[in-house]
Amino acid sequence: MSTNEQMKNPILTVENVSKSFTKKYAKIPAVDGVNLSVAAGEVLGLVGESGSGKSTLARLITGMIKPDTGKIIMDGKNINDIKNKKSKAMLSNIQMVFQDAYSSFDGRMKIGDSIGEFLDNHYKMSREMKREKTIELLDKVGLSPEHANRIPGQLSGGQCQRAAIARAISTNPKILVCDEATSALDVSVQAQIMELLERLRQDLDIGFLFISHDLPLVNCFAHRMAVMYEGKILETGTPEKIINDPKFEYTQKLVSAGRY
Amino acid sequence: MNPKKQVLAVKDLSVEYRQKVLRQISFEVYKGEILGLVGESGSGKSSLIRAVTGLLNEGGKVTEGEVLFHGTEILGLQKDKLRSIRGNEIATVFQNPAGFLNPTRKIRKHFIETVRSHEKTSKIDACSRALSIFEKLDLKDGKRILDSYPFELSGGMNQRVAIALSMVLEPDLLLADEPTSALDLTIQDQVIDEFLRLRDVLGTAIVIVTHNMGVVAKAADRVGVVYDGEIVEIGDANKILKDPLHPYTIGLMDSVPTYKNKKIKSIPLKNDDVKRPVEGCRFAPRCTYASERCFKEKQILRKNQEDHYCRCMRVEEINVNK
Ligand SMILES: Nc1ncnc2c1ncn2[C@@H]1O[C@H](COP(=O)(O)OP(=O)(O)OP(=O)(O)O)[C@@H](O)[C@H]1O
Ligand SMILES: Nc1ncnc2c1ncn2[C@@H]1O[C@H](COP(=O)(O)OP(=O)(O)OP(=O)(O)O)[C@@H](O)[C@H]1O
Ligand code: SF4
Ligand SMILES: [Mg+2]
Ligand SMILES: [Mg+2]
Repeated sequence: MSTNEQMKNPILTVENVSKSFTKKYAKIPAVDGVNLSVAAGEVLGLVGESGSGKSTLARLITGMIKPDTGKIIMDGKNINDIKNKKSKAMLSNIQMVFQDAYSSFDGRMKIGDSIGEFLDNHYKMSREMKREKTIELLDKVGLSPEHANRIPGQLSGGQCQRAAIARAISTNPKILVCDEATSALDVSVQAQIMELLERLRQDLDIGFLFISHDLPLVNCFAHRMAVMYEGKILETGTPEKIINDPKFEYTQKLVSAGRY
Repeated sequence: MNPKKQVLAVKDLSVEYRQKVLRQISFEVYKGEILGLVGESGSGKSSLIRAVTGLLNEGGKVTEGEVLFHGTEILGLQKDKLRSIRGNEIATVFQNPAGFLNPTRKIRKHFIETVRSHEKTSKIDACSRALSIFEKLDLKDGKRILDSYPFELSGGMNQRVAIALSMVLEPDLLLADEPTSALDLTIQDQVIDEFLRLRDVLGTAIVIVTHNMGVVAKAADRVGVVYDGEIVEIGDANKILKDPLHPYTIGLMDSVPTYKNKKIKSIPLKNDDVKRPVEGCRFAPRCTYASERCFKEKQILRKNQEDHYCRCMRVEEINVNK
């Protein structure tokens, strides 16, 4: 993917966002003064140490939790303003593939019904249309209609992750947050999913926040990347620049661990 | 030198849910050896790990074959007998650590229960053992971790907690299903070092299921490649990584992203669980080398060279022209 595409105005902006958790005797600054932006059709890769706050940042961006300080602006609107919060359009514009695919589904509900319920929240559709759309989505991620009739526990790790991707792309979001979205896939299916995401990016101009610990993979897909460490963004730049000339010790370690 | 001591032997193991998912799987693991298992998503790797420990998901059953642990058949054992072997002598890291850890219990409780169900020891001792393993796995802030519920920890933290739980009783056999999928690369290296240390110091036999070829390269002595419920290639890890023989394995290697290989290719896809020819090679519908005979003749695992076996009748032709 070329890195010198014309970058448009950011569609998502994270402004000086912090979030901490308190645990009895200690305060955990999970996200600490983070700034970043994603333009339409742009892929921002996010790598970083385990526990550095990537998933917390993802949950902040999708509005699941609120920042202590700072703003998250989507399409010019603060997502945590009451009047914007109620808007369905706002919600369907940011979608997420969760790190733990199994628990992002209702464990007692068939996959097809989960996706159907999701479609209900965003569109008016007849039962047949929903069924058709669900099967089409599953097919895109390499699953068969039969998988729609299973509960999450009856799918393999990678099949469940792909069902989560199918659900997230069902509303044609403007921003797709992928939190380790291909970590349970074999490399061949991973390549196929990456082809799908790249096609969606080109056709629909979706912007991605692509969280992954797989630096070589981020290098394939991202236009820019950010390195997170202990709640802060250490450095940002093109993957090429960061891989060839990492500025921080952590990034240097990460880059050399990714060589094989 | 002593002859190698066999720890696990799986013989002709078949498993089915509503559909067949494992077809006569056979392999052995010896003391002090690490076997890596790679393969397609949905090919049956997790089912294999679960079947070996008698913990198949609801609806799953073993339809043929046997599992020998230190030479003793264990699939037919009484439930409580199996339970005492499990955890103590055979430990498992499941693919989905968040789902396996009890969400209503602090991590501390998990360790206390695991250790004390097999040994008479104090709670303090159980926790200090946990802390010392955390440190080796680069899990910082150990006291806070023990005091946390799983939902208060990140994906990679929970994964290392699950690994630490599997190591705490120093098992003879460790089965780890995608144990590093949520770890960043620097920590992944450290976790692998800990697996290697266990193998070197205690002679633990280890099976690691992984999608990560880097993990295979760093940890595995031998590799098995699973496709659609069958082992299609197995043998010495160096040989298979350097010179894969089976068309599926060859395709898999081409899909690995590296800093240089940015154009990752997928093996042209068919839907999972699609009806395929039952008689011939199960990879034939996707194989660029498939001939008419491939669709008709059942393929067997044949020796190609010392400790390198492949389930493909055209392997010699293909690898001459490669
Ligand atoms: N609900 C919570 N209560 C208390 N602490 C939390 C909570 N959620 C997250 N944390 C803490 O915040 C920090 C950041 O966690 P987060 O899940 O964002 O990390 P991450 O970068 O996604 O890590 P990984 O790569 O391992 O998934 C961790 O120290 C974690 O323990
Ligand atoms: N409880 C169940 N009921 C029905 N089918 C199941 C059940 N559990 C698993 N399966 C099916 O069995 C096959 C093998 O699943 P398994 O979880 O063993 O695959 P895997 O190789 O571990 O895949 P992954 O790499 O994606 O984790 C899959 O097609 C899956 O859909
Ligand atoms: S037996 Fe035939 S179809 Fe199967 S892998 Fe070999 S060449 Fe391909
Ligand atoms: Mg995370
Ligand atoms: Mg699995």
